[in-house]
Amino acid sequence: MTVWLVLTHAAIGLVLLLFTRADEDVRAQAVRVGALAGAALSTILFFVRESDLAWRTASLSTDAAAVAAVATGCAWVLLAVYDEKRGDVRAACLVGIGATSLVIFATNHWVVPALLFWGALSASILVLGAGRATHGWPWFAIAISDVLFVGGLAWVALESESWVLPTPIPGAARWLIVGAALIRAGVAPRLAIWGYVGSSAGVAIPLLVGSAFALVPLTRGDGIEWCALALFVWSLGLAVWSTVRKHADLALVGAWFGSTMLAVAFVVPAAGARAAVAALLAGSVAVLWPESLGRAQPERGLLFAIVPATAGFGAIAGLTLFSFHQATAAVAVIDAAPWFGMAALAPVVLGFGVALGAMYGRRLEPERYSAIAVVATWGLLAAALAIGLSPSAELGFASLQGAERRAPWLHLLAIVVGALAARIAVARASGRVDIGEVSGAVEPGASSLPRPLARVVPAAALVLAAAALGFTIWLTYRGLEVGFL
Amino acid sequence: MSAASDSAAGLSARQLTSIVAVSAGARAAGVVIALGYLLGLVGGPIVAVVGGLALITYGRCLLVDRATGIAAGAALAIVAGALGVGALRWGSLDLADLRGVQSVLGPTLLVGPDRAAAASAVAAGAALLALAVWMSSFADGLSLRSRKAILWLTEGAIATLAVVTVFFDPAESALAGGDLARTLLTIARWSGSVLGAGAVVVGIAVLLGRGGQKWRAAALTVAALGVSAAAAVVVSII
Repeated sequence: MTVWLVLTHAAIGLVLLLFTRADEDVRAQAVRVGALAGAALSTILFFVRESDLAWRTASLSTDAAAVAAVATGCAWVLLAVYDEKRGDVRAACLVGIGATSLVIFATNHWVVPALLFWGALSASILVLGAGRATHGWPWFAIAISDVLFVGGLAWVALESESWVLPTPIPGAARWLIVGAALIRAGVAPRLAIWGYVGSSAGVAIPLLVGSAFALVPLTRGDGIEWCALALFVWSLGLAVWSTVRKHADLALVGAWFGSTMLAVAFVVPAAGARAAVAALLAGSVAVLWPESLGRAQPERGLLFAIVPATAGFGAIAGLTLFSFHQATAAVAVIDAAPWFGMAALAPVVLGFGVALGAMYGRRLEPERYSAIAVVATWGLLAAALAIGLSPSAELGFASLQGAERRAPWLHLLAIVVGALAARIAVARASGRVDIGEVSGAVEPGASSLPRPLARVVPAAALVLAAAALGFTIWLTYRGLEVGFL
Repeated sequence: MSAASDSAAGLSARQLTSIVAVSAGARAAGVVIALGYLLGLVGGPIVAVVGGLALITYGRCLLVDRATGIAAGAALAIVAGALGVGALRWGSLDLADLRGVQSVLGPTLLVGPDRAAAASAVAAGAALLALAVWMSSFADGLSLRSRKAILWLTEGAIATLAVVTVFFDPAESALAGGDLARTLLTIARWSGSVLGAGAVVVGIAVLLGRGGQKWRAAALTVAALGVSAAAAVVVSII
């Protein structure tokens, strides 16, 4: 069964290529069916992730399987939305190949397969973004992250003469992997992956963010808490920046949410998968925003506000509890400092998240939307709530012993009561409604490169990506030479 | 602003309805979550109560302007931070631990060393001040005889109960262990504490509502400084 779960994404993509010469309507139908099949496959992967399934170097019994499942599922959903009536089978094929690459990369335990499938993922995303007006910075970001990742893994493999992927990566090479994760998660709003927002290349964003979170288990170790604290401060700055801006900047929103959740994942292993899922769902909703203008606004805001019972709140709650525990248990002040910092900043992040989410929830927007984008937004919110409510994931809290076992039921009751209250409010709101207004446009936030850099940056990105690929091939040859298989 | 004029500015009646529905739903869900934890129906950390308050705040913020929403978000952050300082005093975020230790040693505010007690008092004061800003942010144009006012007061009482639970929980022992008279006395003291603190919060909120945004900003600044100072003192002690 595992082989099907892993390879079928690519198979869907390749089958869709057969429709290249078909009529536009037929192609569009085929892409939509393929995207739905891919999303269904990802859902199955998510639910079987704890069944100890394995295939060759891939083992699904890890948090990374959940991250890969949600990332690939989001990518297929975005494809279904952005492809509406275009029938872009080339993009569908690249998403399929990227999805299979991500699943194998995230669930494997060997250096060479990790490098090869990371490379395949990068290549599929680079081709997907080719020709877009704002592809320069995303290409550059992907290439730099490739160099850092390949460099980090090669360093470890050659130094230790071991081809098993160590978790976490020992020594200074770990910081190269941290760098790759930061870039792929898009923590820099202007210079990274968010250039794809606002175009059909946005389907690549969940795959990129998913690959960043798949790196996180490799990065945990001494000093990562300081990195997480710095990232948390950075994310708070992005939240403040987003709040004071008149226009909704999708790159800023994505970077803010990604930074916050990556900080959580770096330091709280128990909340890592939950943080990744929250970042993936919020990032995907941000990508869908330009296609769902004027609809599902407060629902979208709910996801960005990091409130219960969304997956994001579980992650922030997990960070608060873990930081508090680490801070109070530490003996030396220097050891306690980063944990106190994160525990203190968590409420501030929550407060700004609520204000920001509400601002986006009541924004004056023209009603320019596609029905499928609105449905997809609601579906992603439902997924965030379902994952936030799932008992096995503990809502990010310590354990489900005694009275805590009732927590999921309380949250479920809250949703039911909330739905009833909403219905009553709608019935009573037929007259006048008092509401504060928030105006401003929704902007992708990414920009084209200035003219002097327009050719240089993509060319440099291609050179770096080629160098990373060349080094990967050399390392594969070297691994085969010493018989690592 | 009426629905009609909003429609002219870009928000349609359907969009308004959607916002009003989600606002009401979020506030009701937040009340259920916060009360569930505060009344002990569900065990868990004070963080879960803050989550309930965050939902209420989100629901309220959907109906106000940008500046008021930011003030409410900041107030929520300060209240949550102050609750964290109270929890830090006892080294636990768990609500059962916070209630248990106070039922044995007394309210957080009154338990020495003196610096810790003083810091807790400052944090509690800051929490109430921030709570007043939180309340005043949604009080504009509110008639005290309306249904909205009842919801407004209920939400305020729940937030006040969170502060009372962490800083001056008057229970002397677990409710299940006492006789009926003792239980009733505890409930009366508990209710009295919430009503007393709530009255202070509402009073300050009304005053701040008359003062406008500058007064709210000033109150938030004072509260933030108070929480920061209290946190520094408690950290230095533990």
